[in-house]
Amino acid sequence: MQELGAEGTDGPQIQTAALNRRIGKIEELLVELKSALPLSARNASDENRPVGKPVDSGPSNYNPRADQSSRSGLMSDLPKRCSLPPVEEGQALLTDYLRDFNSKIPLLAPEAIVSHMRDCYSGAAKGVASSWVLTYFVLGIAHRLRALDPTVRADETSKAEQYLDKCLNSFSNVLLEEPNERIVQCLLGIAIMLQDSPKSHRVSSFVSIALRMAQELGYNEAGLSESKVASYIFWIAFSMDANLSMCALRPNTQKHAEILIGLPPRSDDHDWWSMRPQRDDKLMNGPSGTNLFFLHCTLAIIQAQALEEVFSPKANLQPAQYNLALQTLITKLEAWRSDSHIDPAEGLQSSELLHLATLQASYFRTMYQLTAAQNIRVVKFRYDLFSHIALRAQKYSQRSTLYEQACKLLSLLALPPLEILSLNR
Amino acid sequence: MHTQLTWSHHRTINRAWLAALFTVISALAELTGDESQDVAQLAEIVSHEPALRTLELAAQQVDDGELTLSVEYCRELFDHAALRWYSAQNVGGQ
Repeated sequence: MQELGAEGTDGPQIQTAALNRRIGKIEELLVELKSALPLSARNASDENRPVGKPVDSGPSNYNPRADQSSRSGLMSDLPKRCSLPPVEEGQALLTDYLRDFNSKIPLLAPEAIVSHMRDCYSGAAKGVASSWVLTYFVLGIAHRLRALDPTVRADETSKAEQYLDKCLNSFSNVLLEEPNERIVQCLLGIAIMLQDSPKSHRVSSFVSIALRMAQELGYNEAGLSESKVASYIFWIAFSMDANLSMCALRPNTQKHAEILIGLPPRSDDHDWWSMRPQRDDKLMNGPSGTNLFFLHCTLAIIQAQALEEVFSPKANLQPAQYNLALQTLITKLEAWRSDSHIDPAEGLQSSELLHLATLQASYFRTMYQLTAAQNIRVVKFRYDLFSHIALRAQKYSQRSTLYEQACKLLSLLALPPLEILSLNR
Repeated sequence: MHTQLTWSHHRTINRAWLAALFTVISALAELTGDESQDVAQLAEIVSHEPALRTLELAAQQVDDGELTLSVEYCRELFDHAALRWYSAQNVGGQ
C-alpha cells in the first residue's frame, strides 16, 4: 500500500514555501475570527448570543454552507442559549486544539474549523448542527488536553464533559441526513471525546457508523475521492475501528483488503494541520521522521489482519496454521515497533506524551493479545483475553517476550504529565 | 479521595495497563531457585504496587466488573509474591 503523495515532484524548498504561505493564511483567519465579530459576540454570555447576520466568508475557499439545503432542519431545535466561551478564550482553545491534537490526528482542516467557529459565534450557524458539534468538539478536546495539568484538572475535565454533552444533545437528527464529510467528522469527534468519558463503552458504535458513512462516500476507493481531508478522515475512522475491534476481538467494519487508497504520508505535513511553524521534530518523530498518524494507520492494518485472518470464525485455521498465522503477525508487529521510534525523548510536551502513550498502549495491548492467543490456543471473536479467566489460563508464560515492553509502557504511563499514577505520590 | 484518574475510562488504555501489570507481576512471581535472583525479582514486584493500586481504583471508577475481576487476580498474584518477599527479607535479616 503506497503512501499518499509519495510520488510528489515538489522539492523541499517549494513545499516549505507553500507550507509557510498556508500557515500565514490560517493565522490571518484566526485573527479574522476575532476581528470580524461584533463586540457583543466577543464577550457574549449565554443570554446575549448574537443571532442572524453572517460574517464575510473571508479569504478561505472553504464554504461550510455550500450544501446547507441538505442540512436544513438539522438544528431547528438548536437552543438559543448556546454556551460558547468569550472569543479570546475560544481562540486560545482553538489554537491549543490545532497545536496539541489536530497536528497528530488531522481530523479537521484548520480553515474549515475556523469557519465553523466563526459561524457559531456570529449566529450564522443557526440550524447547522455539524458546525455546532465540531465547534463543541474542538473546545472539549482542548479542555481535555488542558486537564493534563493537575492544578486545573477537575475544572478542565468538567468543561470537557459539558462540551461532550452539548455534542450529544445537538446531534440527534444528524444520523438521518445524507452522509457528508462534516457528519463523519462529527461522529469521529464525538467518539474521540467519548473515549475518555464515563460513557466510553459506547464509543465503538460512533466509530463504526462514521466508517460506514466514509465507505458510502467512497473515501476508501481510489478515484472516488481525491481529497486529502477525505483520505485522512477515512484513515482516522479505520484506525479507531480496528483498534477498538481488536481490543474487544469483534469483527471490524472495514476489511483491510478493500482499502484502495494510499496510506497517509510517512513523514509529512502534520504542521499543515496545526498551523504551527516548522520546527525540529526529531523529538516526536524519531530518526526516520515518521509521524504518529502514519504509525496509527500501519498498526491498524496489522490489527485488521489479525481480526480477519486469525480470530474470525471464517478463518477456520487448523492448530498449526493458527500458530503460524499468529507468529507471522507477531513478527510484523515487532517490525512495526522497531521501525517506529516511539520511545519518549526529553523535552516532549504533555500532549505529545499522551499521544505517545496512546500509541504505545495500542501496540502493547495488541502484542499481548497475540501472545496470549498463542498460549491459550484457538481464540475466536469475542473471547476476552483480558478477563481473569484468560489471565489464569496463561499464568507465568510471558516473561521472555513481553516483559521488557510491559515495563516500558508502565514507565511511560507513570510520567508526571499523564498522571495515571498520580494517586501514589 | 477526590483525585480523578484522567484516562481511566479509556478502555484501550486501561486494558493495556492491565496487560502490562499482569505481564510483569506474573513473570516475576515465578521463582528461579537462585535465592539472590528471586529476592531481586520479588523486590521488583513490590515496586509495582502503586501501579496496581491505581488500577484497582480506576476499575472502581469506571464501574467495569470484568476489569475489576482481572485486577483482583493481579492483586492475588502480587500478594502471594509480596508475602514471599517479606519472608525472604526476614529470613535474611536473622
